[in-house]
Amino acid sequence: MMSAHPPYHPHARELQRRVLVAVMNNPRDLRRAASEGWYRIPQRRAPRQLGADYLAFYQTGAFRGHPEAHTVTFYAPVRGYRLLTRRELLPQEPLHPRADEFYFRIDIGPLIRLDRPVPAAKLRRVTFIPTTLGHLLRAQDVTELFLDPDPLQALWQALQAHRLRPLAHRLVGEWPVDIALRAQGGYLGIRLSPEETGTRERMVRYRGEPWLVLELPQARLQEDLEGCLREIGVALLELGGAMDTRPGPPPRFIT
Amino acid sequence: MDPVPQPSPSRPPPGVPPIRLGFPVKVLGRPGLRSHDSRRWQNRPHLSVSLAYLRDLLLYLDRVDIRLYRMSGQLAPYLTHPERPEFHRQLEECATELAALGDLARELRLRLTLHPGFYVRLGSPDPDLVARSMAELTAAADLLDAMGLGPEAVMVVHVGGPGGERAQSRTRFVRVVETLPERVRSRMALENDDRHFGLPDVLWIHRRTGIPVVLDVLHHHCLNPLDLSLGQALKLARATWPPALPGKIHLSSPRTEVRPLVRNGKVRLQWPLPNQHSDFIHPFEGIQVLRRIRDLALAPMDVMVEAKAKDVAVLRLRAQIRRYAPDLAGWVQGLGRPETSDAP
Repeated sequence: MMSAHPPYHPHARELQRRVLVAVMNNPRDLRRAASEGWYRIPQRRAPRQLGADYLAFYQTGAFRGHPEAHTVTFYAPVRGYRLLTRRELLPQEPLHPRADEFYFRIDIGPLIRLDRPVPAAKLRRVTFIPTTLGHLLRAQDVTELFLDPDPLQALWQALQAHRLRPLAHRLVGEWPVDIALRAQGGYLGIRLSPEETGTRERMVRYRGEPWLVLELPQARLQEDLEGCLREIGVALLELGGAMDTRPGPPPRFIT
Repeated sequence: MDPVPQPSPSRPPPGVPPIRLGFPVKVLGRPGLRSHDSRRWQNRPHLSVSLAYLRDLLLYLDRVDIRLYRMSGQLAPYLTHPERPEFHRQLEECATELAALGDLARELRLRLTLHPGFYVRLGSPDPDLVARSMAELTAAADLLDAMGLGPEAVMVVHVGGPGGERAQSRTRFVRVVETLPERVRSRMALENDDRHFGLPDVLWIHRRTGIPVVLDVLHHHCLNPLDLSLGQALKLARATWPPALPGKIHLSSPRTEVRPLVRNGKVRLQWPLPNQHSDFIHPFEGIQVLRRIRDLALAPMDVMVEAKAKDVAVLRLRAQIRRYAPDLAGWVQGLGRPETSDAP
């Protein structure tokens, strides 16, 4: 059930509670969240910060004509997480192509309407945003929900902005890399180092493929993202150039 | 004639993994990561929420290349609370999620451990407290089993019991352990404490139960009735573990600074105590301990860094080892990777 204006006055500790803002891109899922009390996220696309005390919903343009479109208007307390196949989650769709894939089913309590919905005037392409209840209750725009910028997230978005297709973390033999990029002559693995060292490069072979592993200090990424992007561009050129680029002019940072 | 000193090898022998540095429970280096669902029972906390937090935390550990972590003892809230039966079935309810998280830990080659609550006191003369402790340990072992973790995932306990009855407490501890199921016993490891039960006491228990010993180095400095050197203590503790299983020690440095305490509007200065943990590890003492482990051929061995700065203290210690003890680079996990190679 959706409650209109709950008499809710959180104290300071409550304001620190974690909120995950998730995308609600069809009315049927919102109805299900309200009536059945759950929301789903594919396991393979789950954000790095999934755990939260509350789930909030950013309603996309699919809610066109509703005042809630392009806003975060509802949130709900998280009751639990379950890992289920899509088939278990939606038994009425047993033949769906992803029926055997695993999803996080997030069980939630009643939806609560924010006194002051948070619009997305400046940013329309919202994905998952980990934030706090304090931020959610005070924000005047979705961009104000972001906490300290995550350097990995920043790099990921910058690579996407340059029309590359970053692949999520993986192990290259004994080497964990945060982001992988496919290149003409192999793979570029990018690993963020928490230590304050210079950029380090190593060539390794893994499963017959050459990997150039680039270790970037996290602090440097925060201070000089453009410089790091240039190094990534040079490394991609060493591997024969990027693959998987989306259509359009070549990524700016390698020109 | 003195033998010519041989240089220490630059890395462990083949098949012996490097020393892992880890930390307990709370993450400070990445805001927003939580160790468990800390809501009170009225707000319906659940193990599944803790597991979602733990999943996020494991991904962070992978990113910073930390491969040893002590999980919160309160992962499953109110699991054994006698007056809250509605929480008692959380392990069964989360069987799939626990197994998936165990898979993730294995994939990331993480050693996970537990340190059940302070009230776990198997050496206590209070039968109710002992019964509660046994229930807590059994639940913790069930949780590790449900995650499918190997024998290196241990639950570290203290002897517990009144200090004035050391011998009786040790005996009670042994008797209680004998009544525990094998699956619980085999997960247990025993830590020396800083007040009553020193290394000789936990070794006494080990000889009767087979429970391996986790040497807490700071506790050993505080309570060392036989005046054992650090090297002797490390060797004795390591020998209680099966050779193929990584041993485990706790490393911390004593707080040395004065703290202002404000109470009722008045500021009082509190002097540091030697058994209080400092924010970071004294780098040269830490390096000395690691060199002992190397020189005494005690690897495989893992080191739980108990410092108030948690993961940040581990990352700082690694940086300091790299700077002040490059000879250890190949011995400490996360520091020395092959410069070029065909990764296996």
